[in-house]
Amino acid sequence: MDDDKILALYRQRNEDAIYETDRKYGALLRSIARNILGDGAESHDCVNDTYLQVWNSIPPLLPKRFSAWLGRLVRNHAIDLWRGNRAQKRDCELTLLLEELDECLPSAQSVTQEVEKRELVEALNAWLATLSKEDRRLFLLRYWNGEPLKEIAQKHGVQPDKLARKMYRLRQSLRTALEKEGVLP
Amino acid sequence: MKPEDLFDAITEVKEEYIDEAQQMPEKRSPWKKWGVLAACLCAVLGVGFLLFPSQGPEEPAPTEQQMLATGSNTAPTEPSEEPTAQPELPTEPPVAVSIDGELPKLEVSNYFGAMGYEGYSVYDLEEKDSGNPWTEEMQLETMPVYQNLAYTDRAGTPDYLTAHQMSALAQQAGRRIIELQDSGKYDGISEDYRSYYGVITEDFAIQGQTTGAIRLNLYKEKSVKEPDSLEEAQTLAAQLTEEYGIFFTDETLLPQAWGSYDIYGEGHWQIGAYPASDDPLQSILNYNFRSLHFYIIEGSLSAVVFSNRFLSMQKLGDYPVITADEARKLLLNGNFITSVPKEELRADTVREEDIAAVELVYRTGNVEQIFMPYYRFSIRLRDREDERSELGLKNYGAFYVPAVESEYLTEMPVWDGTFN
Repeated sequence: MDDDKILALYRQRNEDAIYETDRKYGALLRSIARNILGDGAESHDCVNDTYLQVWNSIPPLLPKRFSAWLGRLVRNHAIDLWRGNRAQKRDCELTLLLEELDECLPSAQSVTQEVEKRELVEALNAWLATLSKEDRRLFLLRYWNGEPLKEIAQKHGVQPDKLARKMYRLRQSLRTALEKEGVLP
Repeated sequence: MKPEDLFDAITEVKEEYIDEAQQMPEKRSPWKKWGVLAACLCAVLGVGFLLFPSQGPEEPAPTEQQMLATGSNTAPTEPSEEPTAQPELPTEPPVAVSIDGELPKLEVSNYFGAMGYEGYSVYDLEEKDSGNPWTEEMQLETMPVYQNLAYTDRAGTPDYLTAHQMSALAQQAGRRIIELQDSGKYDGISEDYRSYYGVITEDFAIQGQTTGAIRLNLYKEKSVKEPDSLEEAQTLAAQLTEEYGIFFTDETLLPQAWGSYDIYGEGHWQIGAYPASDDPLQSILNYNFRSLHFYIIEGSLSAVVFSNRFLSMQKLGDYPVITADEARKLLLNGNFITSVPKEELRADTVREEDIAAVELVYRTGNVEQIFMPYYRFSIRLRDREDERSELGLKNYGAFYVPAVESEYLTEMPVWDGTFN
């Protein structure tokens, strides 16, 4: 079903809206939640919470890009849940993702300024714009969707170790960009 | 900033990019060959970029009273349209009141952050030299030690100056710039993600930061050629200091440039400046705690940050310090802290012949509870197994020996081959 039609169902307060949303985007949303929270019930709840939030938000909200907006909601909610419960979540994929992203940051002792989120997002967008479409997609599949390297490699028909090297270069490139941008000292 | 913050920010990237990532790719056969071995990759993770001890901030700082005085009629929510006279700013941080007159013992922090080690690849150590005014000939007998009032636990965000103080700081700086330029418009204060913009015009915004730094964001295109060499970086540092230094201080500023090379052998140069002083000790303090840093992005100057740790630190006292020679002996004895892993050394331990340079620095990161002087030794490390060694780049690591006499330390560090 078209996004416009699904959105129309929400506006009509027709509960099929949620069913149609799940049918079209459920797999994506569950995988985003799972990549952050792991396989447990929490991921399941995270997606269900998100549906409720969508139901309560539309109307009045009318997202322009429904899929990306949904993805953001579920991602934000998953991060919140992870933060609230991180002690039990040592082995999930997010821990690994964060370790990788740590390479994009300088060591704590050299961080002397606060970084604004808005500034950081702008810098990220500027950097993403410099990448080839393929690199951008790889980076976001890993760090936005949180997909395990193996899965991305399989999808793209690439050897996992080659992909790991590619990711390493991308992280280094991001770090350099953030430093140049003045986001990092 | 923590990796979580970065992960969090990634959520908000452009929706078109998010959508683009969700499209199924065409499967292709493996990409072109990569020349680097995975093992080698692991070895270089995190190295390539150097951590200079964050050279601290900048300029004389207003005391809280002074800032409150300036800002008294300009509460963050109701900015004054009438600039008031700029107050005199102190150039010395406040002194802590000691109860018994004795110098408290100092704890050496060996926390270096989670990422990589402090190493640098250069052709010549001079490239990494950022104009430190300290020399061995100075023969300093004591040096001041400070408490970091904006101390934050590991990787957290510092939080010291209040919103009111930050906005007062931003306003002072903003008025100065408007007066100097004889243009611009005072647009009041806006709060955004715990930052305080004192003055915003079409051309720039001034932001007061919680550690006492002032950040000037330039919105008007200011083209600069990104330096390709140390010489170019030095020239650019002189030009930009000449042009922008006056916005932050009346003092004479000494331009600095420094850099290193990444794993692909490409040089990265940084430029800044710090206030000159006839007093050698004051010069050292300025260099470490009050400095200007220029941020250049894609051929354009995007921001100038004048750090001023004097606003967020308090003097504990003047501590007797050892000489560089004495520090060298401690170094060879294993009494140092470092983030360099043992396997990067050219031998089992630090050898006399691996010592390439020494300088005196304060470690001034947010995670330091105490700002105390250290002798930082540049130790020659093993050559990298990547393009850098082919290019003739030499690899060095930073090793720190506390400069304060050992009787004033709670414990003399002993290296056990690990860090953190």
